Amino acid sequence: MTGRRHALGRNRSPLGRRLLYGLAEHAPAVAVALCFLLPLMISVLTAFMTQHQAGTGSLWPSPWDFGNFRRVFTAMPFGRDLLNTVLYAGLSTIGTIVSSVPVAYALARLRWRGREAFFLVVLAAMMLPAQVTSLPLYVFYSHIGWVGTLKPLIVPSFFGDAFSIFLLRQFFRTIPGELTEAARVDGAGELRILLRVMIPMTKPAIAAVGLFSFLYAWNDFYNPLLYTGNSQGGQTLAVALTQLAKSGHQNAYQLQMAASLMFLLPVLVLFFLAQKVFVEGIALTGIKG
Amino acid sequence: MFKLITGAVAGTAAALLLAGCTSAGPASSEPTTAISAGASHAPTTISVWTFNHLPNEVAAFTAALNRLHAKYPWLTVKFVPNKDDAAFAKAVAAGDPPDVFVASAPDNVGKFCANGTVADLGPYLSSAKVNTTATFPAATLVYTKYQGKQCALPLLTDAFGLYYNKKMFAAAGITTPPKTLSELAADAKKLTVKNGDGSIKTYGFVSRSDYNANRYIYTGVQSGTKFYGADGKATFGTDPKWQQLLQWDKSLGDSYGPGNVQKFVGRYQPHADDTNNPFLTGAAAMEFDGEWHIGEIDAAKKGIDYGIAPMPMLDSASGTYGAGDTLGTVAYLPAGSKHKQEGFFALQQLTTDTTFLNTLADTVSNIPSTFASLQSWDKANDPHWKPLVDMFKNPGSYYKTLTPAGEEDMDTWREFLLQYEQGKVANLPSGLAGIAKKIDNSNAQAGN
Amino acid sequence: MTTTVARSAGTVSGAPRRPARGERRRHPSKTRWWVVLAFLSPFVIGLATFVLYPVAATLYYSLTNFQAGSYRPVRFVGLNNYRTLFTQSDNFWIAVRNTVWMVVIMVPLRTAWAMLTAWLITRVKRGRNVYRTVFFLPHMVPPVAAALSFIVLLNPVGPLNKLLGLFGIGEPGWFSDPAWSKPSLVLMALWAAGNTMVIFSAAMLDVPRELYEAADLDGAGPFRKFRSITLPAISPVIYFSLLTGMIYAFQYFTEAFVVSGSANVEASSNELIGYPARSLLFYSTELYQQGFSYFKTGYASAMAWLLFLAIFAATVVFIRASRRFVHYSGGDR
Repeated sequence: MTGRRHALGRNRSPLGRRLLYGLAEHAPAVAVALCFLLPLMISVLTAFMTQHQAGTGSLWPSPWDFGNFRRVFTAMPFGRDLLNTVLYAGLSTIGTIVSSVPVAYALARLRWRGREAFFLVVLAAMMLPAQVTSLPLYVFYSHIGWVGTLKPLIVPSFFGDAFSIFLLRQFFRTIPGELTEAARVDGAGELRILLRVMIPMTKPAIAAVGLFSFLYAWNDFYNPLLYTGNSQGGQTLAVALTQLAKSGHQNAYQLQMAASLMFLLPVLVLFFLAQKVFVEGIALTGIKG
Repeated sequence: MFKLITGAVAGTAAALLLAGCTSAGPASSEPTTAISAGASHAPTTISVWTFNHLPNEVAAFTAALNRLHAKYPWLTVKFVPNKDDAAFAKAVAAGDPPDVFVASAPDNVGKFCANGTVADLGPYLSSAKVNTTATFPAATLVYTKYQGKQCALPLLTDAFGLYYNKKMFAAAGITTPPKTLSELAADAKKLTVKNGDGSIKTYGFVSRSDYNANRYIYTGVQSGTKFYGADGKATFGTDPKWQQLLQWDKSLGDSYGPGNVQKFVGRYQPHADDTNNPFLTGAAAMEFDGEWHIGEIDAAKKGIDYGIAPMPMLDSASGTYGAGDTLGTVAYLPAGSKHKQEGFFALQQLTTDTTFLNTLADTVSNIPSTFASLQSWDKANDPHWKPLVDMFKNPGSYYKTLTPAGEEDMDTWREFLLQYEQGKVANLPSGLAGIAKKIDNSNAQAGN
Repeated sequence: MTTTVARSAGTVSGAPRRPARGERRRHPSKTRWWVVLAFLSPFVIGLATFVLYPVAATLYYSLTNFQAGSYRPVRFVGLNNYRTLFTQSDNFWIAVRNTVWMVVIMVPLRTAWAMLTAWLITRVKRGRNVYRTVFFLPHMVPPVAAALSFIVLLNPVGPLNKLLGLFGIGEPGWFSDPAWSKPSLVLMALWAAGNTMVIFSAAMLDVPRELYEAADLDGAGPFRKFRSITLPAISPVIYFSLLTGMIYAFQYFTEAFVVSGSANVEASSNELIGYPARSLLFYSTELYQQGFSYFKTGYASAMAWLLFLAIFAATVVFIRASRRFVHYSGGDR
């Protein structure tokens, strides 16, 4: 890569060379960036098209129709479904953090026989697809009358989430052991060490885990489809959006896109607010498989 | 320590396993005394689910239910549109079924009846003194009854025909609609128009099984081919007419050139029921569809001059022209309903009330499903409706035998059709024999 | 705010880890068992209720003719469900084939694409963060919204085909054509590969520049530099990406379900699964159809158990096989 600078544009003026070099540097990346943005741009533009124009292959809205975002609210109970989605994502995030932090702490910092074996169990649980467990769970939830409510989505998160436990354990292990040991020597109990030493030091990590579990719930389709997809009061947006296409609004692409954008917006806001936590959190997930 | 945890976990799991496996028995049977229309009754709210989802259909249902409530103020109905059979099955499994469920097609009557998902209406009908054979045309009782049990009632019915564009027919010099499949194929070729660049502007007739309602061409009814023989076994391997039907289909599809039928289906399948429907836009000269298409054509107001004829029969068939698939919307009383008496009352009102049936028939563009409503219906002699109503009355019309595997037989059959149409079945006779065996197996398994 | 995260991110290239191990040797004292149990208890209960019980119950169901919601008596049928799966169901084998297609085609392509885009990012000097944000952005789009966008984009008469038409390139049927439907899903997976891209670019940027400069002095070409410097540094990421991608592809559901369901608004829900022509019938969508449309709970349970075993076996095989190829610097393993 470093050799390129010498080879390129030997006979050109410094400005021309800089331009050419800049072009060579940026052109491929810009091209790829445009490919990445194309689907989003099409979605945004479609959301401003009239019913007549949407889905016809037109690229530019003419005329611009700004009413689609309003129409989404009459075409589907968007507000109610949004509330459900917020409840699911919010409560399950709280549940995941509250229940996973102590387990991760026990795996990272407490010493007990069988710890490594237990960690393997966590890893195995992490790999287990939802499809494997959903048949008996569906029967179980229907026996106790939970199907059709948000409970099957939220309650399990209060009993620990394997992926979050795994991630938090990795984070916790990066904290110098001297700190917890010092607290232990001072006679602090483990709960106190966790609350006073560990958590304050790993706030960004916990934030990353929280973000991941929020996003997981926000985007989740399979579980809401199974447990609330059928219900009258408890749909989440991910499922409701797919049904918007099928409830007498066939090919109402403009409404679907408008609703999708409203569904996407909170995620994007979250992303831009906490971009660093995200990107670094993701980079971390990839390190120790 | 680890042992302690695994022990605790295993114990809990075992306890749960035992608890989870005790299956709930059928809902306790109640005495089936009919609610008399005149008597007062404690206020009750029931839920009615339907597959209908188009705004005009939902409006018609809501209006009818409002009239019902006005007539019987004690009965309040919570109406839920856009529920298919899978959604219903899910609600049943979740232990919270609606009190009445209206399904778009009768394919699952056999399954729901066999596994007890829906109630046998017999006792309710007799205590309400409804004589089914005097109320509902025989064709509708074929697809609502399973092994002698009346597990559903018809709520409007469907008939399928060949829609043809008269102007295009005249331009191609065709005077009468085709009566045999080879005539249909010849007409389709005459009606196919190409653009300057060789692409197809108008398709004469696209017969591919996954397009719109075409699957009902392949039940064989038009040619008197029975899906199941007298022994209850699928006849694909034994009746040579199936081969003829499929070969006709494939050669017609292939005549458009490779990829063109796929292009047509890809482009128009999502628009089969809206104003971009190819028959409405002129991209198809003929189309096989149900009677609701009349309503869609009217609503589009494109001034198309069209006719409807029975779907042609195989050349090897004789005397079956005019027969077609007759099936329709069915209404169930779920066995797990908590208001079965009231549910049946509403079901009875909906399925037998002439005003409701006629209004709903006009709104959703279907055929009324009782003798009384057929009589008072103003469309019976309309030139578009008449061939379809005649088909409905034709003694050769039927719907394939219902089975305890529900719609699985049709699903399996349709997947096979599509594979054959795409040239993925090397040997048709052995493929047909194989698919017959598969369907028989799945029925046998569901039956025990 | 980010110190912890940043520090740990540094371990990508194998910066020495905190001496957790040495510390353990210094203080071998064990925590009292009831304290440990108290910390673990929520998860232990959850594990029993939401993992172990369902796994055991699925095994039990798979040996019966159980149909959830049906009132007919539950009978023990031995291995019948498994026999039906293997010998009588095309759907099962089609689903297996389609799923394996995704594992074999989509997963490596996605990894390669993430690697390529990450390399593009490391190549630019100014504005790297802007590109990284743009490349990563699609990953943030919820799968359902992404699928709906792609349905609009790849509509047979839609914008992309219009653009392709301008260049005189043929107009594929994308999601409506069985031959194009899976490649269209791959396209979507590539579009959303931003998370893997981020991991790759972190690993690539961690390679000390001096190594490349030394290689330049030795007269190494770009390919050689990639093979002997970059590749060893990013091999753990390739490994991770392939492993997680494989597990993900085994349970591929949402995109396929939404695409099949929305590309064909007319059909009823059973017809939608796998549309068009079962080309998008994946293991999980078939399991959903059998288990939650037909409610053949016993039969679907047999499928679920096989999925569980398959994922487990594939993971073990993959981990074993990759030990030879993955280079971990810093002696972490």
